[in-house]
Amino acid sequence: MFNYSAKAVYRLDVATRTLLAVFGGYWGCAAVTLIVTRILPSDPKTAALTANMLFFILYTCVFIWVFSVRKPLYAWLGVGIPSAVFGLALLMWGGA
Amino acid sequence: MKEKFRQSMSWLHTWSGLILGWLIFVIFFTGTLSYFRHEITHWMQPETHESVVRDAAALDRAVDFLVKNAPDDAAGWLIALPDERMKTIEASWRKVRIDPKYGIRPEITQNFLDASTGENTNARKTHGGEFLYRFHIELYGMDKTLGRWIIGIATMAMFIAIITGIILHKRIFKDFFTFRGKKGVRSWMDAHIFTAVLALPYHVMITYSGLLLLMMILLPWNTEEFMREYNEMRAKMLEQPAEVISPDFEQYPPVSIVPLIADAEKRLGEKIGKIYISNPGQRNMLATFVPVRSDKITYTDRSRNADANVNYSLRNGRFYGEMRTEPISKAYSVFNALSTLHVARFADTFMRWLFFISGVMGTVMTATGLIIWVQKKAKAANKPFGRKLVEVLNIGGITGLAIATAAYFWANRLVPAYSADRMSWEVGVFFTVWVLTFIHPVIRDRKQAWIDQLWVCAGMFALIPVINAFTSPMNLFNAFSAGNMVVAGFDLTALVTGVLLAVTAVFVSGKKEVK
Amino acid sequence: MLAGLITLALTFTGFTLIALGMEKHHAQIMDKPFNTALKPVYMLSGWVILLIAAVPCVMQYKISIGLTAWFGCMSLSGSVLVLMLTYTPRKVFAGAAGAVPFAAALFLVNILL
Repeated sequence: MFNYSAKAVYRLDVATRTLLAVFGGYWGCAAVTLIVTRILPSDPKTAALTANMLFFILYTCVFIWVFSVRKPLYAWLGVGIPSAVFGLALLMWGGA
Repeated sequence: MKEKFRQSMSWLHTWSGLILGWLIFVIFFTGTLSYFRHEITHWMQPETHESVVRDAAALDRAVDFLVKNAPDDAAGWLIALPDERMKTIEASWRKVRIDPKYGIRPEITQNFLDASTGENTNARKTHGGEFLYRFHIELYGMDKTLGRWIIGIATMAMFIAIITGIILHKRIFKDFFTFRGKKGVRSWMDAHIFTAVLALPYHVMITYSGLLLLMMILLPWNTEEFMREYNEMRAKMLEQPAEVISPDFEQYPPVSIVPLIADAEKRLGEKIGKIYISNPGQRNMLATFVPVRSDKITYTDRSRNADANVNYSLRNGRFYGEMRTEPISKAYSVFNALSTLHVARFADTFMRWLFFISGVMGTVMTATGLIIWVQKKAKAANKPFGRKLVEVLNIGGITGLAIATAAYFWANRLVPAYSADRMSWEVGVFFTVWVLTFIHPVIRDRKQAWIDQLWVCAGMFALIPVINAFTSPMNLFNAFSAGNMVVAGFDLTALVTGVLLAVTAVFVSGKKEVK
Repeated sequence: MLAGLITLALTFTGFTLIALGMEKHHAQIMDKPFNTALKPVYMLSGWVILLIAAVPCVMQYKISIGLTAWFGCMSLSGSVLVLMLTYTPRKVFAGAAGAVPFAAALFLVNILL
């Protein structure tokens, strides 16, 4: 499916993408969720619930993104940039 | 580009479905049976089969039973009225135990009383349908939190498989009526697609709400807000252990609950299902009457599945007022609606069967998905070892689980009713048989192993009415005439399942294997 | 229960009409050749009946549970139709046609009782 000739490269690609989606995606979505929890104007419990409900949809989208883009670089950037931005925002906001 | 995208979705669909596929199948299978977990428990206690509602006064004898038998340090009692799902009166008490790891843990002792006499049926000890339900949410024999993590991860994989499946099968309304029998892989594909598409709203709902129900485990970094109240209460309880006040029924005898039920039903306009009694044998003995079910899915109190209840003093029968849960935010309504749909406590018999059938469709969908992989992808990949491994896992995972479940029901009747460790025997039989079903296809030719196991499974299910007739006062025929539709329904369902499995066995034997 | 049966019957009819609007399934159900001009008629009437089928359940169970029941009924009657198309395609038309008076009779019973 991915356009590589060598089997090893293909395997490495699948493995890294899987790790990226599973762990990077989890981390990134967690950061987004925590930010959303803080931004939402409703009471803290409702905000946390809304954000959590969003998490699973977002996480699914991350998987679709990571495995559908052609170049591994795009996959990494697509997950990495939002994760970094939201993670940094979270840090500046006073820790997670 | 578009074709590339579809290919990658196909890849993701295959692997997210396959890698934990057997676990997903197990979750679907046990979850589907869990719709009938009370019914299964009732069937697994044949001592209770003759209980029929004849006399409302039996309910007062349930109170007498609790007065006589409940321990002094019971924090509260529960009386559950017989309904179409449970034919007995449940009279239970709850002790509160402080567990250093999990905090406050209720310790519940259940008793099932005959609905016409109020006598304790002394039903055999069994995990009943609860075992399948617990397996569905947290597996067995491991730490609960770990079990729920595993289930949660499998559910996430399922959700990804469903969403990618939708993207993949873009012609959703084009060929969902198509099922071509006797066409090898094509038949499995058709079955996979029509069970997926026709129950699609159900599949999306059940998987997503499953994730939401496990949210506290899966997203532990965002649960402070939910845990705050609980943690405060727990801290309080830990620092000041509850004072046990011994009940004094001489001075405060409980009044009759029968007129109170009638009054409560009039006030709420609904049938009462459960009565919670707190402070038994004390001046402030209180009874809370909760309706059987709610008529909407967004109600707020999920644990008691109703959004209103009425309270009475059980010392003098005085009405203490009606409690209505507060209106809730939109997000909470959505969450409640989804989690309520998942557990389907609102369902009457008809709705329960609809949920069950949708669950069966999900189970068939996962099973066919796993079979397709063996028949198509593994063949294409040309990896004999991988294919063999997956096929062995398929046989043990699919037909093996069904055989183990049937064996669990058999063990329920064959292990002596009053032997001391019969509960662990039942579960032991379940797992032993399940392990054997994985060994069998390793030794035997795999197509033959499918057929063998299908036949064994068919036989075991079809014979359930027979074994029931010998080990219970009710059999399939007199259960109908006695009006015990739970036992009749269980037997009949087992019989039909057996017949369908036999048909499948014939179908599979007649087919040439795609090699 | 009665309302549920009405919904089941009507969703079966609705799905059958939609199937009749597809050339492949039309050939399974009917002897007559497929008339392309009738396709939108089949499709529209099928969808309309599917929507109407929600009414009895909503009346019985209120809106939220009623719609849930409606989805459940569609899953069931759709599966029945799929299996019938494979194993007894010639009985589909009779079943779908019979489902309408059956639903009407149940509706009357429901009102009179």
